[in-house]
Amino acid sequence: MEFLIPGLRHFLVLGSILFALGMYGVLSRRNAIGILLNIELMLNGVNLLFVAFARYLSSEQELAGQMFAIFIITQAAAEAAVGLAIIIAIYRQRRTIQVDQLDLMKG
Amino acid sequence: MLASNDPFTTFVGTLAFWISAIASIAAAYMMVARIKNLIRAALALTTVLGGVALMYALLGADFLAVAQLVVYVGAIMVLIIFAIFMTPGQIDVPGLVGTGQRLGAMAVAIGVGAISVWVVVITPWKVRDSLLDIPTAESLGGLMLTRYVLPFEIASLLLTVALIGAIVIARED
Amino acid sequence: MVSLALAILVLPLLAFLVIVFVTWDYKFPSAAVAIVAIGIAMVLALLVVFPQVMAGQTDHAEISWLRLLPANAPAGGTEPFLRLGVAVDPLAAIMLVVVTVVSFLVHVYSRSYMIEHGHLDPGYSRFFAYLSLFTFSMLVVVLSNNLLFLFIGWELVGLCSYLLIGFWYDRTARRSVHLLPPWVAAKKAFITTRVGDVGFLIGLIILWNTGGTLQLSQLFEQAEAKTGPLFAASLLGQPVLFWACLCLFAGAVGKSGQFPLHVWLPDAMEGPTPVSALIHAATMVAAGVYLVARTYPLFEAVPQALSVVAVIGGFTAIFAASMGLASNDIKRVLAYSTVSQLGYMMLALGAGSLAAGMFHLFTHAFFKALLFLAAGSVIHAVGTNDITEMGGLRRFMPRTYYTMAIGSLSLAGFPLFAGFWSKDDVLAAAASRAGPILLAFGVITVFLTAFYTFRMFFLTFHGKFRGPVTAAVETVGHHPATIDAETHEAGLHESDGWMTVPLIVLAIPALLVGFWGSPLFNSGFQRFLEGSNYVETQPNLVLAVLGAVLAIAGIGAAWAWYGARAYVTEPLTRFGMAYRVLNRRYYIDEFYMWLIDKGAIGLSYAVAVFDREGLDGLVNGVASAFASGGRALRTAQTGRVQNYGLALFGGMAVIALVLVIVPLVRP
Repeated sequence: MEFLIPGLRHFLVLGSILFALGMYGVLSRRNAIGILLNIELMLNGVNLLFVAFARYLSSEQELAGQMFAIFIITQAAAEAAVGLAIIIAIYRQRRTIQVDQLDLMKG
Repeated sequence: MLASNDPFTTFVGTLAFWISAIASIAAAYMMVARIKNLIRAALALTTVLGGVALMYALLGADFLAVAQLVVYVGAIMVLIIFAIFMTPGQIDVPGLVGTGQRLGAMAVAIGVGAISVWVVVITPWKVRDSLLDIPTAESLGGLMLTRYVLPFEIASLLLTVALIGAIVIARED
Repeated sequence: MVSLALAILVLPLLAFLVIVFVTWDYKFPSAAVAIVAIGIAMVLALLVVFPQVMAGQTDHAEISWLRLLPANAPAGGTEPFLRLGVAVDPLAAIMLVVVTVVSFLVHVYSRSYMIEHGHLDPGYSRFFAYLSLFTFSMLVVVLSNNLLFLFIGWELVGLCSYLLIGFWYDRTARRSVHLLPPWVAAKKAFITTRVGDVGFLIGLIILWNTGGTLQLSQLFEQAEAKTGPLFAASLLGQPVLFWACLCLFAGAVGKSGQFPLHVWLPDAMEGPTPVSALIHAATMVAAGVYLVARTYPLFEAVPQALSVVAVIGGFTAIFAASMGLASNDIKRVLAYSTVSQLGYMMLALGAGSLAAGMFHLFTHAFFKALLFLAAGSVIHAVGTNDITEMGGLRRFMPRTYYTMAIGSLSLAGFPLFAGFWSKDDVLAAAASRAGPILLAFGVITVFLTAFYTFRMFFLTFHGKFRGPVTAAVETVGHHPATIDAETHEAGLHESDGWMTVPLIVLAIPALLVGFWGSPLFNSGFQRFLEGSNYVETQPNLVLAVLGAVLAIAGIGAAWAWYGARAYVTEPLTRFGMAYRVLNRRYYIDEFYMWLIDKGAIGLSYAVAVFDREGLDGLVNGVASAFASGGRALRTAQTGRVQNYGLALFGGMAVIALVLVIVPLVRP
């Protein structure tokens, strides 16, 4: 029954699963915003890993993992803003944001 | 909470963990593989984000948990939903790509996930002795202005640039 | 005396340069320049150089031309130089006289020959320029005492022959009897002699590499020593010198039209007749014989080489004579005759008698030149080369008739004429050293020579004129005459003085020069030529009588068939197939063309295929490989971000896998 009590490994596994699910989503969604959603999922998975490491592995005052997580959240916000702006601009141009129709770089 | 001596607290914490974990994974799975409607997918993601916030709390990152809720759920998801509304006609279109890509994606995702999980489980982590839960806000603030001042400044610059950039790109002209 | 020799050498060259740069647009002045230049050279040669040499003086001089890098210096050589030099000795003096005299007379003759219907040939100046250049080249060959210098002259002579044979380069095949247009004949001549020249060059290289020098005097020293690098054993156990001599002889075979490289001479008759007289009778074709004579000590050191020379010469003599029987072109008959007589000269040389060979060359130059020029006179009057369309010309061209008679008698070997003495010498040499078969060839050829020569003579001058009425072409300055319908003898005139005087001048030596080498004058020519090497021999009376008898018999037979009867059909056609074979020159031309077609052209075709399919295919294949590779790789550029993302993450997964697995496998 000891394995039920969450330890480092549990958090790490959870983070990894979220990351993997996010990866699958990024690669299989057709809608650009959907891809963005999955990117956010991946980032969250990674954040979880960082914080878990910070909690279980670093010394008392270190908290490096949490710093990482903060900055990743910051960056995610900036990225979402710019990414969505781009998507909107593309939508205005081409009336579509299905990524398999945005293949001008083909060949 | 999980490091507490009190067995009841530990029990609550454990329960909270498992419920949240299963909910997160289920929501994530639904969002990735089943939900076609974008708005619903966004809401599923919001669920995951909430679950992750709970995880932070269980890990003793109190400041981070709140920040997660405020920034991610409160701002980013709202942003995304706004964007979804601004690109209509896309919501009901099925969101899955061709077979080859899907299989490749599945293989890669399963591969990466499996490797990560396996490595995590195998490795003999050296967990530190004392796992006290203490408030982190003060420490984080201090660190941010001493050791991590450079990333801090750069992050602020990044946000400024992103702000301006997003406005410029999305502007109607 | 070397300076005099150089003056003689340079005069024709100067004439060439003057004609090309100064008098090109003026016709008669060009002729005058050439005639004067060669005239002075002739005078110098006849009246100054020749007497001096007869008195026993000889001279030579060399210059160093190119200095070679020490690495390229020959193995046994003394110093790394390529040299050029001239020498004047009896052999050279004799040739000097021959070349200058015949060349002068041909120049004079050409002044009128190159005028047709009262119009000067458009290439009049060019003709004299080429003649002068040729004379210069031939003199280089004659005077050189260094094989390299000789080779240079040799090549120049070949060039001039090409230029002069193809002189009327814009003509297609002229008349029915002729088969090749002049420019094709010129190419044929040049290429055929080229085959020989390659051999010559190889011989030069062999001599240079083993002997270390191309200076004749030094080579002779090595040859006489009978030991040394030149005598090292080589292919088939023969000494190196043997192969060198054989290669040099190859050049002679080409230039002198011996079998199997004789094919160009008959077709070379497409050139103007003065050219045939000068080049293909008296001088250039004699260059081959002269080469063997000049390098005679080398040949004497390897007697096997001399045997080869004799065999080829003897065979060629009878071979060419047989073809002369079946030809209806007056110049062709003379061409075959030239080849045949050159064969005699080679036979004599190969039989060990330098004197006999050169003596025959000497007499032959005069009477053959005479015959050609006379034939030219006939052609100029009648307008055709075909003897079946001639006849009865003796009434209209008496000077041509008598001079040609003298020349023909000399060629046939009629007793007391020049050709008789020299031919007898040749047969005597063959009898003593050449073996019975070759002697038989030589003897039979005497008969054949007399026969075909007088066949030609009688058909041309005797009987009735068989030509078409319109064949009566104007001669020099002649206006269209009224046609005598009864006898068809319309406007056939003797040629003018410029053409007949050289004939008369040539007739004199054709008749008399043989005496100088006859026993009646104590074989003066032979003593002069061979100097200390001269060996007293008893004249062979049997052969002399036999020769005379055969010559007379040949003339008689010709008279019986051609002189006494009217010519309706060719009597020789009764021999059917044999006649046809002779007439078609044993089909050797066809055989060579077949060889070239299969060999050279087949090879070039194979190379072309290899180049096209192989090399181009390789290059194109490389290019197309790259192109298709590129096309294949391009499929990865779908333009879709997700595909790229898959590749990205996939790669990451692989790296992660490797990072995990490797420490496990190999701790």
